[in-house]
Amino acid sequence: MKPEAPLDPEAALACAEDLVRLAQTLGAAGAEVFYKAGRSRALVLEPDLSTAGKPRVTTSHVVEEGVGLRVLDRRGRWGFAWCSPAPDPGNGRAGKVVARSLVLEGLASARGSTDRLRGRPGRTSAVKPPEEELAPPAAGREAGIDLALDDPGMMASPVEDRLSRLAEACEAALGVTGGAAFVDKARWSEAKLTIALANSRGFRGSYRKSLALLSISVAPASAGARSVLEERAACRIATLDPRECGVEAALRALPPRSPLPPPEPSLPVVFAARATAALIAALAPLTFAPPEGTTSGGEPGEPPVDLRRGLWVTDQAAWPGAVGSAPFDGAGFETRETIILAAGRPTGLLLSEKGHRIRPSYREPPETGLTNLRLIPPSGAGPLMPGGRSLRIASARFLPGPRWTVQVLRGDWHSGDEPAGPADGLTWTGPLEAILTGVAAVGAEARLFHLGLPVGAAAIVVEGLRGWVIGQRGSLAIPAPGHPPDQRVSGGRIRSKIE
Amino acid sequence: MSIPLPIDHAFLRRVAGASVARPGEYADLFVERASEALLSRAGGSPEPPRLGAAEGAAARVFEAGAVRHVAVGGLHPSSIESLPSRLRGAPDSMWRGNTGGSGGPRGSGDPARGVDPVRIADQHPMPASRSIDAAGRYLAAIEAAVGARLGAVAVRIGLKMEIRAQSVAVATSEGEVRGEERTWISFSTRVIDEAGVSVAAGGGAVGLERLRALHPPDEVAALLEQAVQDLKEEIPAPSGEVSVVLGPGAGGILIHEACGHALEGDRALRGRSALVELLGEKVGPGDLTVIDDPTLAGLAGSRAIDDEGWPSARNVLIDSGRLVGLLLDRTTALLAATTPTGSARRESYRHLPMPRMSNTFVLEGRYPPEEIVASVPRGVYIAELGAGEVDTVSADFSFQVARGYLIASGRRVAPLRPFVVRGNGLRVLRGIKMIGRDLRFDSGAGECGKEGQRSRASVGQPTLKVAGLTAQPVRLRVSGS
Repeated sequence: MKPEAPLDPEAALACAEDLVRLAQTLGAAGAEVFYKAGRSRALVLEPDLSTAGKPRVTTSHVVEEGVGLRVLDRRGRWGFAWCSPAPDPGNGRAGKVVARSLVLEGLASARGSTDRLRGRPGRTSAVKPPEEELAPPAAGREAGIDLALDDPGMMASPVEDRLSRLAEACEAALGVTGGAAFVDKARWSEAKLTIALANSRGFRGSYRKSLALLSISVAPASAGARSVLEERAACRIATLDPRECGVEAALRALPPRSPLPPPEPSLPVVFAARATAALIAALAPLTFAPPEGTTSGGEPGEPPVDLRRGLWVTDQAAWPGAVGSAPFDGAGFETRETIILAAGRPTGLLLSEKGHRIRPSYREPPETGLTNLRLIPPSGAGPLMPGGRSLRIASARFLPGPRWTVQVLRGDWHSGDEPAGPADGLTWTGPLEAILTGVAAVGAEARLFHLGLPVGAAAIVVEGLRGWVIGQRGSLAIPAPGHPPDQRVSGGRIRSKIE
Repeated sequence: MSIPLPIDHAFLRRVAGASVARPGEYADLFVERASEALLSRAGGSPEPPRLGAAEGAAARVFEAGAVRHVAVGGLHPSSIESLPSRLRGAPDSMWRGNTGGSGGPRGSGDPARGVDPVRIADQHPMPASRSIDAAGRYLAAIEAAVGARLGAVAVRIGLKMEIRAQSVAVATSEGEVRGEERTWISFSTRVIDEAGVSVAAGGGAVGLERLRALHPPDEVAALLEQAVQDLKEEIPAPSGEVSVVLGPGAGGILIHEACGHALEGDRALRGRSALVELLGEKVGPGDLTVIDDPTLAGLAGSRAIDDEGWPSARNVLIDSGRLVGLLLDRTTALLAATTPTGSARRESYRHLPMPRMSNTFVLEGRYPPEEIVASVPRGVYIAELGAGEVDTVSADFSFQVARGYLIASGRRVAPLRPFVVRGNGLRVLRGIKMIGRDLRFDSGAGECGKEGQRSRASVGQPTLKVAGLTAQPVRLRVSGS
């Protein structure tokens, strides 16, 4: 092995297969091992904090590996245990001890899924037969499909190169904010990963992946300005544009301008790509909702859904270069693209499709989840920019509820292509369906944003949103609902403890 | 769930010392083993517990204007010994330490130096399963108690529990080595009714016996039953500026968020805090004292040393209304040209430490809580706060009220429909009118998130009467208990 090369995927697979065999030897009826190893570095630039005229720089390098083991015991119960670093049964007595301990923990977990207090035997809600849980031997992804997950340049350039990218982002942000806000921190993280999966049905697969995350944190320096965090993530460095990220952060941080009232009750609303991304991210919880009626007809008596309009979103787990992509999912099934919103209605398909099992780390068993959300244009989408008057929104926040609220953070009234006054602070409240089914046009090219998860979005035009009003200026938003009381918030970002 | 660290201090001291390249630099070494068990129940059945263990080490060096940090998984002596060269960016160092087994390069069979790797492996933090049987029975008992009281209205009852154990050792280039073993167990339970409204309750303690004593299943169920009952009796919340009485205990989250974060050194010393410019000045009434104290026994944020090995200490942040203290780790103490306050926390060896709160509370005052409520002709009583947003730069905040009641003619009269309270941290401090003599800490289920790192923390507060808050009814139904 070359010193600078990541762990050979074949060596990772060998480790996973060793553990599968050990689990079977120790009594497991089925087993699956997910192996993940990575080396990463993070650079944090704090432009405002300088020593001897130089901005403060913090560097962090981490080397980490671990395995997650799922076992099926002979009574048909699944268990899960993880361990970091990965045990190496071939590495003397020490390695054997840890490997054995991991398997025994997996079996203990399986026993723990029985309700002993009530003496309830065997099966629990979590039990699924092995053929549903474990992928069969891989048929292999179609030849010629390159997911572009591994960038040889990742972790290869000197720190100075990355710092210059961060400096570029900071400069771009400050060019927009003037003195209204300043860059608190700029962060560059990158990682090289090796992922391997093997199971007792004979599946074996591995791949390499690289990741880069750029994040700019802007803090207010004048009344009305906001703290914001803007992030971009990609598997290939060339995809990340520091200037664009810096400018977007700055635009969201600027103090709101005094808005003009709506010139007409209802105007076409153009959401820029960043604003559309925020909408799609806010919709993420809905994508697990069961479908309401069918996409073509709905409930009997309802008018048929116009499939040429509305918001169409897919979960694209095999999007080249996107950080949520992989050749196989967290359980070994081939990844795919699945429509989750069709003409503005949840399809519920994600729950039934294999190929969307996510595994954020080896510490978690696979579960159906979102990988890369992607806006796709409906077939009958009209021209993107309406010719007459419109409201164009550069950034907005979407507050869910029984009636949704859209808060314009940065927007302008337009007459044709000419700006006709600011619309910052405007709010609209109404049924979500009005937004989702009102999409009349979609921009051609989806840009990749990172809003907690990768979101590919383009500009959209929404028609029929009536009732925009001038909201409370400078006020903080209503916190998002549904968070348990055992949460803390920090720095304006809500963190979930358990759920 | 004790997980000792079988690594001798002389070895750690030697590696920490070797991490310093030049005179005047400072370096430290952080070594950790941790285990966790996550239990859950849904639909009357247990889910398979998730059991796990991790170990690793990290070194950090302070140079002029920069901090460098390297971390590797595993506790193999050769991995730990490689940290000083990794800190100096040795070209072959960043990958070859993929660690295998309990530490060493995969398949290398490196001879142990200083510590026996087999001994380390024999004391591996597995099994985390040791405590899951009794914990599972406790969860099932809560579920049964909740079902008995709320079975008719509950569509779904969900329960979760986390059992975490951690052993740490910190060695510094100045020759100090300190270590500690920490455990914490917490649970939460949530009931969802037919209308999709959920109520929740939870708690935490240093061990299962203590947890069971603090939160007997039937008391948890009774709390949830009361919350469900409140839902039926809710009236609309008032709108606009209101007199607020913050109930004891969980209301302390307001002080934690609106005031505590602004006094953490990394924010305060970089001008990201609305409060720091007022250091030494009066920011609240003369009977207001706010303290952060990790040395209090048995609370979520309690510990004997911080994650830089500095002894924990009681830190007074506001003394008799005057802003007097900040929370500092080594990095921020260097900036402030003073000593750390023992407030450094890190989620794991993979993370860099930063100043954090531990157990933050308002010292008791002199008023009986009933007298405080009786002094309010019309206002709201907040028994529990939910999610919210805080901007430490301006100190503006907004919080959902998870459980609130109308006060009319000096009496708590009815539970309120969902509303949000908004305000400003500084104005809240100045607006404290009465401080009760009933200091209570939260239930111990809470955590604090900061820059992607989780950390256990507790908040405490006696009943407070506060002016300068604005209530705004919302249509959103939030969970709360």
